[in-house]
Amino acid sequence: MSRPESPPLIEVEDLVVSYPAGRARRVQAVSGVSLAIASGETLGLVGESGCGKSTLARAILRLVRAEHGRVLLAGDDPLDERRLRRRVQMIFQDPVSSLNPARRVADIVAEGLEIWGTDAGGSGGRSEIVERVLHAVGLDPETFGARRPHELSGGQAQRVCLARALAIRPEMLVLDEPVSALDVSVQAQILNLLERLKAEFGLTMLFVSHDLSVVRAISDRVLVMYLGRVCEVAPVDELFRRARHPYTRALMASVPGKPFGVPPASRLIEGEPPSPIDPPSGCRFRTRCPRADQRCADVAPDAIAVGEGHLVACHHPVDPEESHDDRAR
Amino acid sequence: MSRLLAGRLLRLLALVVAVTLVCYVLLDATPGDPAVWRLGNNADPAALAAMRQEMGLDRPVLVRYLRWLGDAARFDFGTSLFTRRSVGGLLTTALPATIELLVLGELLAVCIAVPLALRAARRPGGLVDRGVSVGAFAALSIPSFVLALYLGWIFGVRLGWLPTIVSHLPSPWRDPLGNLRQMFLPSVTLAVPLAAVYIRLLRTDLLATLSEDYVLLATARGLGERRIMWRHVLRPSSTNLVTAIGMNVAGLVGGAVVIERFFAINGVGQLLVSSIVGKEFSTATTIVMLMTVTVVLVNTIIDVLYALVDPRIRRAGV
Amino acid sequence: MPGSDRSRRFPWLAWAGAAWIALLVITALLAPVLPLRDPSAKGIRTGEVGRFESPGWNAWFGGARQGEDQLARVVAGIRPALVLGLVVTLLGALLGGVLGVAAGYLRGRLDRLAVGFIDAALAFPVLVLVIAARAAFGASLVVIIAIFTAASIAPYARLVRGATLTLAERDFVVAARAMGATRRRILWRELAPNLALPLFSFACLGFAVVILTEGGLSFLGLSVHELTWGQLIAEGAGEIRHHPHVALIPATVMFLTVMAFNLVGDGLGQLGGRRRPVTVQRQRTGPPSPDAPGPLPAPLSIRNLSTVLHTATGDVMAVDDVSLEVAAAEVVGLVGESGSGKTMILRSIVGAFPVADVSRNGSVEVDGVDVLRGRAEDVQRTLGTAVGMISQNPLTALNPVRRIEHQLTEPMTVHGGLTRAAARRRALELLDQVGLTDGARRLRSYPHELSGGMRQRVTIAVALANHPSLLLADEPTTALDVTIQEQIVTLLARLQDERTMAMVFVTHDLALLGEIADTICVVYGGQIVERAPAAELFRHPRHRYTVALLASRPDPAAPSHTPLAVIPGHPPVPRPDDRGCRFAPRCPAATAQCREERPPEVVDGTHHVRCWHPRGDDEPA
Repeated sequence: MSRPESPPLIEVEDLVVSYPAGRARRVQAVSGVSLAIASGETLGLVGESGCGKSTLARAILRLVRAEHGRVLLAGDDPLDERRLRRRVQMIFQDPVSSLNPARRVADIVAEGLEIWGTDAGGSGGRSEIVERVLHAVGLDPETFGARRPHELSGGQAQRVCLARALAIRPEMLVLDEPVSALDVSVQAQILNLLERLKAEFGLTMLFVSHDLSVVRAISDRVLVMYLGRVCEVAPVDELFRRARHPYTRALMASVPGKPFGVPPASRLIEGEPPSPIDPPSGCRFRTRCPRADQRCADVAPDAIAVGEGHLVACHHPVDPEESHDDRAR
Repeated sequence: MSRLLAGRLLRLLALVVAVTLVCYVLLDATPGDPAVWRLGNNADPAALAAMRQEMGLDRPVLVRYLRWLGDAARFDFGTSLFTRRSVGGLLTTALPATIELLVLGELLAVCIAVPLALRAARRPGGLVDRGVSVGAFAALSIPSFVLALYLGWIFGVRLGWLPTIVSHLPSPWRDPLGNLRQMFLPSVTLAVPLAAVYIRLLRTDLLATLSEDYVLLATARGLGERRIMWRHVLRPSSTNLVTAIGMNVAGLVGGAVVIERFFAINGVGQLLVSSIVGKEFSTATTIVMLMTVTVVLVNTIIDVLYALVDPRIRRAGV
Repeated sequence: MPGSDRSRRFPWLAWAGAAWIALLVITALLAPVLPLRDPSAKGIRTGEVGRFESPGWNAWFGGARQGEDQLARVVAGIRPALVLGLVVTLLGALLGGVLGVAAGYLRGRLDRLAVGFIDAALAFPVLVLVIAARAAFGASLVVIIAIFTAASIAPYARLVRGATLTLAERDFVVAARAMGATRRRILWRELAPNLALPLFSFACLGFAVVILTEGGLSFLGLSVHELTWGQLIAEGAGEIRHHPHVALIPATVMFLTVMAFNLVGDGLGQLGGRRRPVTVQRQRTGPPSPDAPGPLPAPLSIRNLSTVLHTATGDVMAVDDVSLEVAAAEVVGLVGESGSGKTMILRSIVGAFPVADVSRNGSVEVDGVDVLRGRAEDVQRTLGTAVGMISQNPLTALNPVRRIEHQLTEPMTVHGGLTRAAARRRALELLDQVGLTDGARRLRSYPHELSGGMRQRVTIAVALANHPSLLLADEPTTALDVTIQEQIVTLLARLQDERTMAMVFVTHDLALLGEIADTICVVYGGQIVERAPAAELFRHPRHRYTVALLASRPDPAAPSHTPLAVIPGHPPVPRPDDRGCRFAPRCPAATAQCREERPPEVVDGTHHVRCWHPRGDDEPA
């Protein structure tokens, strides 16, 4: 899990996205985020609701307009957003509602081929490609091709979404909470499927989730967001062993069953996230942070490197020696 | 707040000008010459020209319209071409009956619709629900003059309980019972199809509200059915109903025309029809203006009512 | 959820309406070859039909003033009615539809213009338009069609714009954009097919309105010169006293036609599918089970509870022979996947279901009161005082239109017998106990003014209002973020401990139960398949489903990218006639016996398991 050697497939530079919030006010959902994802890598993006992780995912595909910053694909800025979407595909949280209820599975899967032409899907005719990708996601084309979305279970619907995305052989998948709406027993099926597809199709992935255990299982690197800003980025093992940001630690300590241990230094955080309409000055986490002081209120912390590929945006990072090894299980 | 109000007022004015202009020009385009109607087909051309000048018909339509508009802005709505009575006077005689008809009709419709919809929604697919929805369909499908025909035949002709024609309508303040006796059948005729619309709307919204968690929790708290339906379910379900009541006002005046004709009520609807047929520019345009203003006013009141019904709107709205 | 909660049947009444419309169309088409009299022939001259002849063999619908054959005239009236309705509806739907889609999808200036037009058009009195235009351009069918079309554009545009706005936000449209679909493609492939049904349904209702309005105009003498039903009725209305058939027969035909279109429109609207709502109702209850014991001191005692939901897609065995005893101060966790029946067990206790038609069998006793078969007042009092309930979604758990104060004091004044002032004082105490500061201000708030975590604290306060001995918590933290979840679970544990309440905690998160529950019940296919003390369950899971569930979560100790243990297939919809074990199709250890016979309940001390082949202690997990 060392630094990526190949040039990054996707680079996000100082991205700012805001929404209108009535009365000529705007909410910054993403306030200046930069990241890079290497070819073949899986980046996990975690954070609580309202932290801007889904907006960031959508902004990468230009489904929402960024106010500032840019997204580079393999080093250049694709001015035509449709060209970007040919190479980067998205998977949504609610698989059933992301399928058009009026169409059949085979037609839904063939949608990309209709838009981009059959050549986009590799060799073979339209029906051949549809059969191939349906097989690849573990669905029998005979049984499922003629079904409509309301006749599918959640897991099957998510497989159809994956098949639809893979039909045009994209280089990257942006997955927005892809297993959150699924039953526990089905989540594992989809996660394993994702790993297999990644190898089979040579995919790069941005995996957005609120579930730390899931992110840990599937990612190479993890990025933690809070109220529109990046708190911490690190390779997965480094992050889960030596998290430095107080928020990352609090997040880990809140997971039921304490699978990541309860580091003595991190207390339970109190209160609720402030409204993004009126974010705190300085460090956004300071209103709930046990370590906050005046400096945190005055100056927003910059990301500093604290290890190999490990960046943390905090004035008072937690000592790495307060490690998670003393697991209280 | 005041900017918002000013904006609304401006839109209202624009709407009034647009609607009255269309009305005036349309009327002008209708065939027939009031001067000829007045003096007869054989009148001599000089007399006709003089009459046209007296009626103000010799000038171009836009000039006449602007003049009417200018006068209307000073609350002078002109006079009738034929009877020479002032339009204001005509309206004061015709308005009360129509307003009473509309208000009674709406009230009655709501009073019929709310309890029935509540009963129906309590057990969807049940006997009451199916009965109510078939009844509502029938009520929606029956032309109002046919309904009036039936009601008049049953209550007026066969049973002889109520008058089938409104004549010498007593003032509702001096003789409320006598007034109600006469207005009852017309109001019911107006109310029945309205009630059907309201029942269907409210039932759907009630069902949606019933699936909310707080209703489940109210049940779990051991609150009685009646309390749950009236206290917890009705109010959050009534926004669409309130909208519909507002949206109906324009259409209702149209519906009222048929009823006024049937029961011989001298109301605004009848006046409107006769003034259009008779090319009474001032009268027709004034009534149209009045209707437009009423629609907009009612909808403004509805917006305020919304906020009372549903506090979630308060913050977003005004 | 799969489509089982949608009723996609075309109601029989709508079929009846469609049949009537078909009859009209066929009659109108065949009219020239049918043995009908000339509708304009005056019977008093030809001697065929008498003046105001009563309906009979000679003239089925009777005769009119001059002996016109009413049957022939009613049939002649079908064509203008259908042509007018059809043309107006098609034109109105087309023009309004295009305007609505354009406004709703392209937004921006066009949308503002369209909304302005729609508002103005809806405020404009149609009657004036009709009368004036008719006077100006004559009384032909074409003029009436033009006027009606002009008047119907705005309602169609409004409907379609609204539907488009909602659809454009739906995930599948966003997904199509993310695929790189062009605007035109999204319009035709994604939006149009989903707009067709509501538009068609609205058009049927619009058809009915056209026929009704034409009738009204005819009655006023303002319609076309051709022979229409409205004219027949208007003509006969004067004779209602002595010859009612002259008006009533065409009136009935018109009424039936309007009704037919309304029915078809409504039927199509239902095809679009609505969610089945929860309803307040009385349930059918079976006879008391013979082995029901006397009242127990336990806060909750469930014996052989079975709950069947009678849905449009068949009976669902939501709860299947569940027995469960919760002792005072005990926390019992129910864990299962969606559709497993864990929530239905709670709902069976309080009697609120997602469908109207439900049967419950067995017995449920709360503090010794049978809440299935007790008198309504007793049940309501017990539920109101002894039970508190918290539901999953804090967004919908509070009534949006009532202040917190009303919602919090209502249980105390209705069941607790407190005065308003006393209830208010207690409400303030309760808010303090659930960790909400500034209680007086919170009491005046509406739910939307509070954050999700604060709302969930309020629902907890409401649940605790009457000092319940039993707290039912239905996924109380699922909709919350993990850091807030931690706070709420800590709060619940503290309150439960302080008040020595019993609690039933329903969740899909087994790890969460490890933190709060004394006893854990694993629910699958409507049954409690395994029940054991929490620590025991984690250490020695016996049911194959529990084993698989524990293994399917990512192991925090394993390196990332380790393949997860998978349970194949997906959870079943339990049916009353299921045979054998419901987990058998997904179970690695299933045998023929598992598929044929219901598994027995194996009891080993405090550890219960319903399985033919439970996992032994020596087997690897």
